[in-house]
Amino acid sequence: MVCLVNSFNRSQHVALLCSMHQDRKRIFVDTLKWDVPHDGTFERDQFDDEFAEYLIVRDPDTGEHCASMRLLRTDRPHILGSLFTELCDEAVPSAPDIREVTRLCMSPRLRARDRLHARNTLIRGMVEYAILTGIKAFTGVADMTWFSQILSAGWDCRPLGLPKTLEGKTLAGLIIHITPDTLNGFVDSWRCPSPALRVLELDEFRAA
Amino acid sequence: MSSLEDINDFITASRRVRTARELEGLVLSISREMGFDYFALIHHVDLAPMNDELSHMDDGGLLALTNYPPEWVAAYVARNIVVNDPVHLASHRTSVGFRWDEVNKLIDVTSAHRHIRDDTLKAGLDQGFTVPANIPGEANGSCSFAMRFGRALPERNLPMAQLIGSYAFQAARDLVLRRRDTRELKRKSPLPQRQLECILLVAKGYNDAEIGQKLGITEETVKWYLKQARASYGVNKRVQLVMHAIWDGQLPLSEVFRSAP
Repeated sequence: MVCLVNSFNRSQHVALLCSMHQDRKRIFVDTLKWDVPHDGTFERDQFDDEFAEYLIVRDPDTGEHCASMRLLRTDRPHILGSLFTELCDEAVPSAPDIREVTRLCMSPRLRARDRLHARNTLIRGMVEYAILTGIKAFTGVADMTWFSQILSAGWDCRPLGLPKTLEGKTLAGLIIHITPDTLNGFVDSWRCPSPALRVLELDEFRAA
Repeated sequence: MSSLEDINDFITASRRVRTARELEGLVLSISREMGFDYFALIHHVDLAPMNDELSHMDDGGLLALTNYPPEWVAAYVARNIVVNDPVHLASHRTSVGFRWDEVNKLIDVTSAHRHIRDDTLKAGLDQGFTVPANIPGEANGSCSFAMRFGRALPERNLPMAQLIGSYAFQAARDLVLRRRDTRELKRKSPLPQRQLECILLVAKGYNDAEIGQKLGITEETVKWYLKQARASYGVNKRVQLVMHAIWDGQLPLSEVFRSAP
């Protein structure tokens, strides 16, 4: 199950968000050695503001974070438009119906098979989110390390420019076009058989 | 026309391709446009089923498509060079495209590797650029672009070749995967979690008694799980069991090398 967390329901998901920021610190700071802001426990930057939305796969047993991504509006400051404009050969895609995917993060606690399941659930949630909210495309910055894997899903993913080597990493800007057909186009190994996205929780109804 | 436009046209066309022959024409034409003489899109597995009719791809069996000189392809397959090709070994160490003259930065080049390199040169293939395509749970693969003897690599098009290589491989993979009989895939059901945990610990070098201790089960139960798993692959030895589980993607290498037990 994928939770959509935004400024409206953030207070319902405090523990889940903490667990996500902790895993982000472990992955991006400790493992990948990215130079990003953190306080020793949580990784959080200037884009984690009231406009950021999160899709989070939650462990049904422990309630902990399994996998997540941050979605940023491209008509506001975002990573590709602020930090990596050189990865776009043409204008940086920027529109109310384009979101940028950033901080795609899998919990280091996951075993390989659970990891694939969590990935597929998250990706299905991302496509469902786009279809439900009228989002036409997702952009993002990809390390070439993941490029073949991203393409392997079978969706319509295009480069925004030629890859460039920045600070020792070969990076490329990408755009993934989403249509109602995208879910049918996934190859078997990327499929999540049942609907993933949960926009509202039952306890939110109770709270309201 | 910008190279981004060329790349996008290639992607659009490659997504429409329905046969291996169409894809061959498409990849050959963009390889030439980028300034390369040869291309080779392959899975790093036994290439014996390769044939001129390309039925090995259209039947959903094997990804192998190239315009390398036919004599070299024949020798390459007959000698099973694929398993010890220094370029392929190097491509398992990185995900970013590399030039063949940089292979020694990625692997320890042995005399056997130098021998293969010399034979490649004799076959008329000189400089090359290889884009790795390593997808977890699948056989490793790559897309190489190469030059006839004495011709230099088109340096300024290497970033473009990086993208084209990845997309060409994806198009070929898509073609093969979608042709594969889905009944065949379903037959290969996943190993039960307990069996997989035992195999993982075998791969990490533990014996049955140690595995039993770690999992909180008896040594006999461990033996039973491993016996069941060997039976499902039809193999007799522990090492064969580990190799099969890795090969069909149930046991990722990353898991084997994780430090936590």
